[in-house]
Amino acid sequence: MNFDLSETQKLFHSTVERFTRDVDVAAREKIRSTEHAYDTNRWSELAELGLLAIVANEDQGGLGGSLIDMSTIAEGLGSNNALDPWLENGALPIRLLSKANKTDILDSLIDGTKIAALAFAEPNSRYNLFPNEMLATAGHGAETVVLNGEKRFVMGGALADYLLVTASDNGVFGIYCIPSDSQGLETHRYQLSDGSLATVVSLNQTEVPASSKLAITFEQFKEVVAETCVLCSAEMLGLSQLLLNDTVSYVKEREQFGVSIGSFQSIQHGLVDCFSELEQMRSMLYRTLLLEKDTTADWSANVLGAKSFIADGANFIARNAVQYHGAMGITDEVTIGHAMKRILILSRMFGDAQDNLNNYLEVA
Amino acid sequence: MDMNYSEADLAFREEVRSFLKDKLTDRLKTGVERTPGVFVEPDIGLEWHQILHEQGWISHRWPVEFGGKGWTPMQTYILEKEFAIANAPRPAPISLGLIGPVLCRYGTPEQQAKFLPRIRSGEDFWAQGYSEPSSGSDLASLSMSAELIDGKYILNGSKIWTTHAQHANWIFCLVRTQVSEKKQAGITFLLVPMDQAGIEVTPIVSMSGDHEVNQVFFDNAQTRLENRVGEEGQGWEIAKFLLQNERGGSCFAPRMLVSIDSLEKAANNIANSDGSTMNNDGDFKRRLAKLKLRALALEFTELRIQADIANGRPAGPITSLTKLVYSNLSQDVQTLRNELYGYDGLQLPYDRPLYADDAPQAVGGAAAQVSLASFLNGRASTIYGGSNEVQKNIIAKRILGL
Repeated sequence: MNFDLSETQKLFHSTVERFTRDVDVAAREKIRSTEHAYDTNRWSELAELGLLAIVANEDQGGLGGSLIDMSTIAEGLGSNNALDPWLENGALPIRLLSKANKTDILDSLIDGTKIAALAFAEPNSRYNLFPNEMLATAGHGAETVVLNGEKRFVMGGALADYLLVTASDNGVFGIYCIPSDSQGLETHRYQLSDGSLATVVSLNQTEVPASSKLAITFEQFKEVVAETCVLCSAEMLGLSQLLLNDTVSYVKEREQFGVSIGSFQSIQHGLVDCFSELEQMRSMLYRTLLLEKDTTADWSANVLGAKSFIADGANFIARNAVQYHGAMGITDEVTIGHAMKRILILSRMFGDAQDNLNNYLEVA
Repeated sequence: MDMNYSEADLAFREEVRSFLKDKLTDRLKTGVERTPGVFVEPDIGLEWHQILHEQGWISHRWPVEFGGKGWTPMQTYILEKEFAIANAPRPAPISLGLIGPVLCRYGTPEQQAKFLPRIRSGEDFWAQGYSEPSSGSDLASLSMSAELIDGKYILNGSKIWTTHAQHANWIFCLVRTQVSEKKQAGITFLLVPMDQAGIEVTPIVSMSGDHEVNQVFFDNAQTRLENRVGEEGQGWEIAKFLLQNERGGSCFAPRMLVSIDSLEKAANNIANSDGSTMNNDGDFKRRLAKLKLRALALEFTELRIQADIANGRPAGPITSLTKLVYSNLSQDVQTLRNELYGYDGLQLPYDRPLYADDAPQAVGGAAAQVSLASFLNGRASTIYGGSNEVQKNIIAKRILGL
């Protein structure tokens, strides 16, 4: 029994720490105000550091990292409130393409020259992962497929060179990897709570090669979603640690009534409640990372239960952090607000805490 | 990071399982199930104590030279987990978990030779004399006096909330040997025999109907100088050691998880208002699932502490956290359990023990009968051993630096 990070994991953690620590609120604002709300030079740097390669298998040109390795990275990004979409535009699509062994496209994603985004959410399906509204039908030639329908909440959609679109072909699940400039494809950009640009994607008679369909089943897709949920949990843990650290520092410095407000018992006890949540969240993440995978379905349900638990804790800590910062807490000038807004996305990605808990009920 | 069982661990688990299969009788299990509090009565507790003593496991957590087993944290965890699953009684925690380790650490060789074997054999049963009527959370303000006259301490004052003092033949007490400016400075740790004229034990009945705690009056009671642990004035240091030992390296979660699972099973047989059973009630299921997640997280919080201790990193004030989390969680489980039983959860028999032949007949089963007493008894868990508020003060000061 051992809960320490390996030397390699410590190295990845410090790499991420160095990569993200210099982006303060002002720098963040500057990057967010650019056309794509992101600096793609950072993406190249992230690729050079091996943070994308770690997601793919070794025989695919990756580093074959474990879920614990990746979780270390996600937590590290969270603990500095990074604005890099490593999770949604790096780990998630690369994991999917790796699972499908789509090596021709993987290379360009691993070296950071191309970026992919997953288009899974539909207007009328809430958190249901199975596509109902995006339909795939046979094309004019035998070798083509036609896609019709609308997707929303395509995270990092504005950055993406490729879209991974989930669709139903007569009730059969499929993911189609298509260029984001495909014919018949229209996008509407909109801003998410962390300042990133998502898209609404409409496909109208978009004809793509049949080979665009990834060799991946719905069950395998759900497994990758569950793995991503572990990374969401890890990033939320990092963000929560940041929120608590910043808030503890703030209440020590902030003076009212002639004393630091951290000397007040109500504030001390409130922050202990946050600390208690944080440690329980960390334990829950470790448990999840060490969980044996007897069956994928049970494992996934346990992961979703863990995410539900960690999401509740992270939102609790975020709201208290804002409260204990007083009026400063509601400005856009302090890190904690940005951390809270990122937590909102992570906690609702692939289902909110209530929805994830319902999934967990199957194994609880 | 790993959580692997070695071959030796798996063999050990088999050993524990077969031991439990052989030795844990239905009588003992029923005794646990039908006792509202965490402390079983001595007729159950001592019987189990003897069995563990014969097995050589009774003081497994003590240092090896005093009868400990020197097990790895994983082995300790395996034992606790298997005992929890089997619903085995918990042997007297005050003797084995509190005074035993104190004597191993601070006792003289004579004290160790005299008392430790008698704790292991179950010959001595200890009570803890800490709180006083005017000194609860502010323990250091205690005022029970001890005056050294002709090689004997003369004790005057009273201790309160002393668990099972009615069964104890020895009590360890924090006493004031000196009135000094710093109230912690004049406190001394004494071992006192209960069987003497100057000591009177008065029962206090809890709102659950249990007689677990007492007030103990000392009227010129005596104990010999050789029964002092450490020096005069060293009592506060020893008290802190004891409390951290009490909270450190805990294994609360396995029992909590077993309790939550039993709640789930019970729901299969309890009718809901609409004629279905409670295990189909969405609200109940979600509440239960949330409790389970908290308990699973606590299990890993405890394992993290165990692993730290094994790596030579002392647990320290983080143990306040497990106490805090555990006591809140256990109350929430007791609340859900009691609410699950609906009307049947309102029965509150005052007869003890409830596993006696002449105990009142349960309405809706034994678990329903004990559930309200258990809920009421459990309200103490966020108060004893340092209340939630005290634990939060400790964490705020020593971990958050506030």
